[in-house]
Amino acid sequence: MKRTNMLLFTLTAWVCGFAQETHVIEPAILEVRYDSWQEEHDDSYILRIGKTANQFFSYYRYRTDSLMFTSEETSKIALQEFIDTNDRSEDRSKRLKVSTIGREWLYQDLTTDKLTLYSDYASAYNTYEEDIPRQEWEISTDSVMTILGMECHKATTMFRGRLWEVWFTEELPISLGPWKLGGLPGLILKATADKDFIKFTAISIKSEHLNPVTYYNWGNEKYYQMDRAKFLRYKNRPRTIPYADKVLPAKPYIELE
Amino acid sequence: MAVAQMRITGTVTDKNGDPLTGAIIQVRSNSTNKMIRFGKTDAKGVFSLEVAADSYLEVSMLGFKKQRINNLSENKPLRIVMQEEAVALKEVTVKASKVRERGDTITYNVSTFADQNDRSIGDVLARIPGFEVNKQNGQIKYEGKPISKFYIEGLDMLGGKYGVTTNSLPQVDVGSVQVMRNHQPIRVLEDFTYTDEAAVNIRMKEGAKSHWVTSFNGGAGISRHTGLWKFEGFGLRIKSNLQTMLTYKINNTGQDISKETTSLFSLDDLESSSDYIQLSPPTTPNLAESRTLFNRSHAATLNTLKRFNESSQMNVQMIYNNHRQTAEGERQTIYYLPDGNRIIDNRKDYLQKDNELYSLVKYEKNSASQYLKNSLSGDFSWSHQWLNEFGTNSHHQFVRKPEYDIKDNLYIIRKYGNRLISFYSNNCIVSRPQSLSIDSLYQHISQQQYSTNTYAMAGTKLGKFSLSLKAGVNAALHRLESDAIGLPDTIGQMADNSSFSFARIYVEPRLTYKGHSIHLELTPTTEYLYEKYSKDDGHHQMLFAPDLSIRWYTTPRLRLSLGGSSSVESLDASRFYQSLILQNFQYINRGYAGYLHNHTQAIRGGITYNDALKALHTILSVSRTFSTSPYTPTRQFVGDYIIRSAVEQKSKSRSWQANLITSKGLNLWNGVVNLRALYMNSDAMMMQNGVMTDYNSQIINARMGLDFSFWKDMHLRYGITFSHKSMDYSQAIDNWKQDLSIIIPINPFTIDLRGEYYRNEITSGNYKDFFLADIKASYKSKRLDLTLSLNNLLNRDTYSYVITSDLTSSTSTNRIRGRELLLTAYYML
Repeated sequence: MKRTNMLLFTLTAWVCGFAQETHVIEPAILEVRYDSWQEEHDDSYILRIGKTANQFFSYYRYRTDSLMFTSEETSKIALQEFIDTNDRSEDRSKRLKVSTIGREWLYQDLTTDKLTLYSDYASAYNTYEEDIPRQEWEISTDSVMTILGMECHKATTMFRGRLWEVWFTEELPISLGPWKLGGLPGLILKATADKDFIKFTAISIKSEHLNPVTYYNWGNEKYYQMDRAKFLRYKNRPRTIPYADKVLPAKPYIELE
Repeated sequence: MAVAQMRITGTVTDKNGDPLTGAIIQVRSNSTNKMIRFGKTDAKGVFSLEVAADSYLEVSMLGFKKQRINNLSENKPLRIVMQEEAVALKEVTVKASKVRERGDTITYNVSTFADQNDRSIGDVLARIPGFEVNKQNGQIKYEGKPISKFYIEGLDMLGGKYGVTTNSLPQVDVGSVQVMRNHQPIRVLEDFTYTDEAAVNIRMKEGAKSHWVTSFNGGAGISRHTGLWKFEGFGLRIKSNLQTMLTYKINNTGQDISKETTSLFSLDDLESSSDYIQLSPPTTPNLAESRTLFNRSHAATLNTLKRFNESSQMNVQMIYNNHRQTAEGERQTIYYLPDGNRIIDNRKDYLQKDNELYSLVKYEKNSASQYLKNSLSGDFSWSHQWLNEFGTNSHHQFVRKPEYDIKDNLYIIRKYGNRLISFYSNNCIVSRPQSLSIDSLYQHISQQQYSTNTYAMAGTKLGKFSLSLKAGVNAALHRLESDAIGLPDTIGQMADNSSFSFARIYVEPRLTYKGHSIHLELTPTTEYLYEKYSKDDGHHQMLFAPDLSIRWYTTPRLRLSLGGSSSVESLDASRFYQSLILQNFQYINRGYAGYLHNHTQAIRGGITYNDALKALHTILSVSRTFSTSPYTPTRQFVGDYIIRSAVEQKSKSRSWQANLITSKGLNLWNGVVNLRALYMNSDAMMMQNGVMTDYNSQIINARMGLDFSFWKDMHLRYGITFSHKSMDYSQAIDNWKQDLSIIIPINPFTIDLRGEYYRNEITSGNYKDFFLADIKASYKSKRLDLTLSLNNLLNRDTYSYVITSDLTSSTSTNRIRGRELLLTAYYML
């Protein structure tokens, strides 16, 4: 009997995947804000870095979710903002902020060397885990660009089907960057995939008054566990998403392989 | 020359000996100082690197002092202890006096950045580091991000429409441009939302604060009957603390510009009751307005903004609309009666002339602890409508429908510690002295209405439970004075002067529980209601309307929901009168006083299933509603007229409603197929000429869509819609619609082909087909956009359809806009 219960429990846990609640992981040391463009659409991201963990997520998604789930008054504000995105479409600053990875939350744990991705795109909640990817970079030390007052060097790599050109600074010795990019001897402040597929640029860096590195699950959603290969198969066919839920340009995903 | 290589291993720790993960180890050349290679420490703080003989290591990590390690040797692993150091971010250093920085605001001096070829402020902004300007629409980005607000002299008058200014404000008039970072437009929300928005403020030169800035666009074309035109003009004048904007629009191309002035949605609008007098002109609801509206519309707006101090400002808006509209059509209506059907067949000729004056005064106070917004608006409209009918019953109808509305919306958010309390008060006064003449009959009716809804909201959270509370007062007073002249007084009372009022005090707590996989929400609304009709003693009662909903997150792909509610509908204030009121030719309404309420119980359930991998998404919802009405609608045929009212007799109606939305991705041509279906079935009752009739009606609506994208931005969309309506006593009606659109982009041109094919059942088994096709070609260049459109290519100029409801069915054939050719240009100076 006990055994059956145990089995049942394991089975339920497996079927249900993760349903963790929002919780603090560790204090943050640095927070970088990146803006992204993809064709006409822009979005903005936060890379929050702690000692052994870091996270990367869309600022606008975070803002809307936090307003929606904080209290009824704040959710009313979020609702009105959403209505306004329809109302004044010519005002680009009020348009819906989207990108191909706008609905993804990335967490890296350096102690286990694992990266976990949570995707809540089109009311489908999926998650997968992989080893923190390592890109093989080609560094060219002769080109220099100043971003946010910091001297940056160029590096290029072919990563999962796209050619990435990034600018990193040794003035911030953290081998991280936007999205899954990293592994350079300094923080990546600018990154471009396939010339114009998507661009990220750091627009601010903060080291004070930081929120801790936090696992967010405002809506207490359950995530379906899968592997990256499966996830990719679905993401590379974005047009299969129902029209009503579609907020993305009908573009291939950031990872092609 | 081969350089000797060796492998260096080591551990990096902090001063307590704890390993440091992610420290960066660079191998640098002794001679050039350039990095040769680099690596990182793993979770145990260990690294291992190939090192050339003439090199050194540089170990760095955020929060620690950088270390250099010389004299490398392979013999023993290195132990590197890092010294902590505060993270010091380098400030963005700014050289030269072109730029001044103070706190979060940076000021750029325009004349030092400007080139002599620069004309507009947008041209100069494009040169300033950090700015990007979109020449097409005038959008500004700062540090890569669209600015959140565009202020001129600290005032935000244009809202999102600032693009016109970017492209037309002469740069010689601008003194400086300020960038405000971390800008939260509503300051009281600063602690609740996280913002990194930047806003731009344009400071004008002292001498240049009285220029007018202008822009224009327009188009012309022809149709078979007349010339077509549209035009838009814009002007802006800026003074410090006072700004003025003027716009003018005109068209006869089927766009109702008067609608642009009213915002589409607002969360705080009071509903006002509809007019008693209502003509029934030919309308074609199935088609887009641009196909059916025969218009000539003007709209002029004046907008000014005045600032008093840092945190408060006032906005005055005046809008004048002049709108003329015509419609033509034929309608055959069948009334299903127990003693034989009655048929009316009339040709209709309609003309409407509207004048509308709208004014708004908005005051905003935006401080760190409180946000206050009050808008007071007046909407005065005068509508004259003529409807001539010929056929079974020939009549000339003329309506004067003035309407005067005054509204005030007050919104306050206050911060108490880390809690927000918001307060809303919406008040409105409406007056409608209206009249209708039908040949020799005359109906005068004057309505006044005052209503208020004032409430406060706050909430608190305790673990998995949260409770929010909304409490307030909702009250209204309706006054009515009516007089009908020319009707035979044997059928009822002709004049009335009475009023109805109610006051509702309500508490709406909302209790939510969010567990691991179950979400629960309970809203037990409780209210005290007092209602009074001027000709009796009134009535008061306590009402309780609970609503419970449960959501079960069964698996990540499947979600089930279940809910139920019991509610009491509030009384319809507009039915409290005793006389007969003429609505139009055909209908006379008789009020009925009585305080019995409609009760409705509903059960609803839903299933959501998403399998992203199989690209399958499905939503199904079903609801069952039982309602009990103490009154049954009546219909009595007296001469050419129909008197509508209700009698006190309990009638029960029940209905089913089911809704399905599903979508599946296809591998073929990047395609997707959608399916939507709706089913409704309801039972109802009506008393006709004293005989009670039960009837059932059903609606089935289904749509399937296909969407393919063969290549890049080229799209093909196809949809097929089917609807079936049936009602007891009448024949069932089927309608089909197919639509196809193809978009072909050939830079810099875009070609857009559209076709709509309607197959409407007019009488049983007898269909009418309509094919409407459009072609649009557009060309885009830097300063000029041109669009050539050919609408309704096949020149189909009538459209027919059938509507059935409430034991009535009507067949309409209306005139629609025929073939039209239109060329529009948008030119940016």
